[in-house]
Amino acid sequence: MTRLMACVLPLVSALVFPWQATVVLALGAAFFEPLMPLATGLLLDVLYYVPQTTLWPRFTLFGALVSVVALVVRSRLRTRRTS
Amino acid sequence: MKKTYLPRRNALLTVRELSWGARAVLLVCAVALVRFALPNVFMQIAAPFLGVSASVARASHAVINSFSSTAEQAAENERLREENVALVAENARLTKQSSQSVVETNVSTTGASRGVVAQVVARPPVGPYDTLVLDQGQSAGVSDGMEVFSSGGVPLGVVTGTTSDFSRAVLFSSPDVQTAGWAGERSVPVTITGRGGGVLVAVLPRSANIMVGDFIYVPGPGMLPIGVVARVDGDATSPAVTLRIRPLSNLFSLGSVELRTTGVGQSVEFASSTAP
Repeated sequence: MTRLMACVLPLVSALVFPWQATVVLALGAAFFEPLMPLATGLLLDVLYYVPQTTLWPRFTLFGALVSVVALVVRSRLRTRRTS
Repeated sequence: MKKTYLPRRNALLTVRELSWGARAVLLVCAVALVRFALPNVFMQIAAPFLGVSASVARASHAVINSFSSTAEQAAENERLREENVALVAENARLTKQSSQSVVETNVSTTGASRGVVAQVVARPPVGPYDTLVLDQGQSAGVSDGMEVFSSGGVPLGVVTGTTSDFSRAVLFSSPDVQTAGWAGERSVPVTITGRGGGVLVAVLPRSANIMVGDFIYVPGPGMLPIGVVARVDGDATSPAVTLRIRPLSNLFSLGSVELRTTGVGQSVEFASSTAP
């Protein structure tokens, strides 16, 4: 249930709340689901990105970076637990 | 003998093994596919959801205001009225100036077309790029390059993308968007740069003597005010100062805007070239 809420809240927040709140929720969701920052950044850019504003879709790139970091941290923690 | 049951493993990953995060990514990818393949259909589906943010904001304002005292609200109301009167007077003066300059340049105003009124579907700060999503598109006569005005006639941005029933506009405050304009009563030429979140800045020589409270103008037609200098930053030894500009219109509470063809889109530079 926690994982489901961690996935749903950032995606809903992208439609309803300011993007700063969405970023905070996505970072919090990364503790439970490492791919949520990527999904949230991708959704923000799908909804609001316009090529004339910035060269690259920033939130997708930042989300991918945070997801990679979250996956690396998670794998390290799992390795520690099993060893 | 105890039999060990081993479930048959498929060479491809089964759906049951996907995490919730992976499913979210796949879902968003499907949404992205719809946006790029069928942009108008995507906007028709997304518009009601994007409008939820405005409803939530209005409801939260009502709740927050219910805690304010009546006296505070009355004082705020009076201050806003005075500000509005000043702006109306300024607008009238500028309109007169604009009409005079139009006559001098022999540009006919009789053929000026009326604008297209559009409702704002999505606005900052929900959207992170300082863009507006509007509910009028090509079918209503909206085209790329049209300028966006608030209900008070304040220029806000430029239309950069249209579908059949919707359009997107980039605000002057969008990050790295540069707009040519003027500052102060002496109409000092200035390049206004957006910083996101409704913030505008401009860098000028200190000798221009731009003070806090001076208006910032952009073309379209004549000189139209878009903001007021809220702060002047600069080292005492530096020959240049940075103007922090407060927009005249509250970008976070826009309800409807007007779209007009003014030709100002040519004076706005974007960070990247126009891409499909």
